[in-house]
Amino acid sequence: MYDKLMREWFGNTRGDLISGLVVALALVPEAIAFSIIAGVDPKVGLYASFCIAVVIAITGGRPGMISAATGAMALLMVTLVAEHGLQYLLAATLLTGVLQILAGYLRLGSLMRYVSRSVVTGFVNALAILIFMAQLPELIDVTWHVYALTALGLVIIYGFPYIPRIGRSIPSPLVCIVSVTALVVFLGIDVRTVGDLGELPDTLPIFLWPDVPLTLETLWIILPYAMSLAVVGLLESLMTATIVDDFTDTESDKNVECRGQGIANICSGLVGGMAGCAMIGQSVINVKSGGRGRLSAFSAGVFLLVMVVFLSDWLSVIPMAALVAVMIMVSIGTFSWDSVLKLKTHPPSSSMVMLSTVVVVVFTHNLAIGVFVGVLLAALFFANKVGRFLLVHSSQDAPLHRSYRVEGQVFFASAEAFTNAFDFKEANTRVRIDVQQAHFWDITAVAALDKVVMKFRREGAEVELIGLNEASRTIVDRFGVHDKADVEDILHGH
Amino acid sequence: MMEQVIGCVDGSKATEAVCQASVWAASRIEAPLIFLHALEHENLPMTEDHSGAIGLGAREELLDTLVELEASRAQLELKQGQLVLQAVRERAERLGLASVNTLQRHGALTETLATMEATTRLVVVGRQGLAHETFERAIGSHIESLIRLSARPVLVVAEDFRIPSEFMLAYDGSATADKALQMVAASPLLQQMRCHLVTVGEDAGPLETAKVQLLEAGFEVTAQQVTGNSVAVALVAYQAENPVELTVMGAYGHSRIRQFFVGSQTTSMLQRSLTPLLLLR
Repeated sequence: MYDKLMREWFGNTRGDLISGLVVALALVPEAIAFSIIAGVDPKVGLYASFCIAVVIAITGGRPGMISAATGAMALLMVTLVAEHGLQYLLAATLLTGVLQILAGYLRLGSLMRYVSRSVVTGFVNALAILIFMAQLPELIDVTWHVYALTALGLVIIYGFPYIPRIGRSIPSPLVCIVSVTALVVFLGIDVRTVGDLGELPDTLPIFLWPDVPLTLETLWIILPYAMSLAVVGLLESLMTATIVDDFTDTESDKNVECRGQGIANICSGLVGGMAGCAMIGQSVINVKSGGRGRLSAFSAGVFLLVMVVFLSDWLSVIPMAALVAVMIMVSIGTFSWDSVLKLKTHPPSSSMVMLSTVVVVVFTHNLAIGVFVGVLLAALFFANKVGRFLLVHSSQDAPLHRSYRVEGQVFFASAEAFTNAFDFKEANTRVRIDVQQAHFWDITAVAALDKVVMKFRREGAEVELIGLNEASRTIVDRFGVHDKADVEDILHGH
Repeated sequence: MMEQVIGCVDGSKATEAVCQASVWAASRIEAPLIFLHALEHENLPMTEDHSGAIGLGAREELLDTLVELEASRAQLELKQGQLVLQAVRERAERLGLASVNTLQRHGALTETLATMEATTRLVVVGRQGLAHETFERAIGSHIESLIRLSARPVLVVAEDFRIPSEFMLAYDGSATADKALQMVAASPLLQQMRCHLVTVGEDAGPLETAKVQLLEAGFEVTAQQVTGNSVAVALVAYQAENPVELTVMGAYGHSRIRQFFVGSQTTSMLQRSLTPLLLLR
């Protein structure tokens, strides 16, 4: 236990500290940009990012994963902030944390197994599209300077790493921000800057209890938002945890992660920060930069705070165009390019699930709804596929003696096919139905079998049911009616 | 399945000693011998790209790179481990053991040993593994947790091993020491060897009863009381002055918290001991 903790914290000290710095530099523009999406001052996102990164380093279940203020969460807060203001957002953040801790204790992390790969891909792609779309207001109805600066920023971000030696030792988003800012200040170009958008932090975060009335009315206002935030936060965190698991070939504790996210959000709410969760893009950057342990997230948070508090005057002159360039990079890096290439080779049902998730999210701006639709669709497709595993063989044993042999899965999706496989018009005195190789899964299947047996009886045949295997027998015994005297009355009542 | 002696090897300087000690122990207690090589994945990053830029397909690309790098490293380690295992196996067979098994597993050594605990009689390890060879007094990174976690006896050897004919039993009258005493008396490992029963400090009371127990078990016993700055220093001084070739003691009788404040006799013995240490929990 002790050894494990030491390893998770100090197993990779140098790598973690350096990657922490790289991540912190990338977190600053993101935290500011996500605050702007949510409609709050940049300091709300910056405090949140500091607090969440540091707390999750201690409480999380996935070392090496970066959590902070995120776009997925920011998008869910927009209307709450617009209609009720910042204080209600802070209260909702606290409630989100409580719900997530609850989810951790109820072991809801294991529900992630119902979220199929296609849904995860859809989620990630939708997230990338939303982050990109959130940048559009900065690019519409502006002078050509903004386009030029954004384009320059992107060229620097993607071109700089190709410079030998220094290219891979200095974070290129930082180079982009510094050089675009320098250019704007030097040439005196009049474009929107971070300072125009709200207050930047100039002190260390302080403890604040949200200034909201503690009434039931408040609860009803914040509860729906908190629920969406809790679900989306956990979804993105657990998905990111799986991605980091794959990168590092190690396991993580999903339920500990749920509780950790909850604690981090509560702390964030108490220092005046917004709710956040794990970040896919930042976690990729962290692993790529050599971060593996808890120290990487912790140092990222601390470096972020130090930079922000001491450089807040400088932050305010950063032109929005530079931030937009960084965010476009984040959205491109988050998007799963692979999923587009494989659209043709994957089964159409999987592609449908992925695309539906994306479309629903883009229209509702709510990742939770998108995932819900995706999971539902995936389940329906699955039921449909399994329903096809049903075969009914029939043979004539003797004159007026017919026997049927059923193989496969009988449940709500295949019950009709099951019933239709029998020929009731044929005159028989004796019918054998062998269901030894079949599985009856639910009461729809049981009712279908009852109906078949009854129909044959009413046509004057004597029905013999054989080989109901154990799995089917338990269900049939509990719900079946065909062996009771008043069977016809019961069914006719329906 | 029979309880076996597990010799943990990693190709470091201690490997030869572990091999000899395992063969000696296995033939004394007539238990099967298995050599274990744990493939421990350090999981440290091998590439460092601080550009912080992520482009299209960044995730897939990063995953591919990491898999590629780790695959080549793992193949190398696997092969090297096989060679080490083959070498110790041949050596053990030359030393006269008929059937020697080898096992290679992924995962931390402590973890692997934990899964094998039910069929373990004795674990033999080197004091230092590959990672610590250059440090004089360092003990291997696992040794302490291995001993703490193992419910089975652990034999820790340094870089050389001679078949012992006289052993020292460090005895302090504690519950751990009493248990160690009983195990020594019952085990075939140390039968017919001369026992130096040593206690550190002024109180000679429990020494007599312990001596009687050992005499009853058929050992030739010299009981001795020694003093020194610390228990470990006194015991090591005794090792130096007497023909002792193996030291037996109860290990880690105290919690980690106590150890943090007062230090551990076991750890300092691991660092200083001149003879192999047989630690009993």
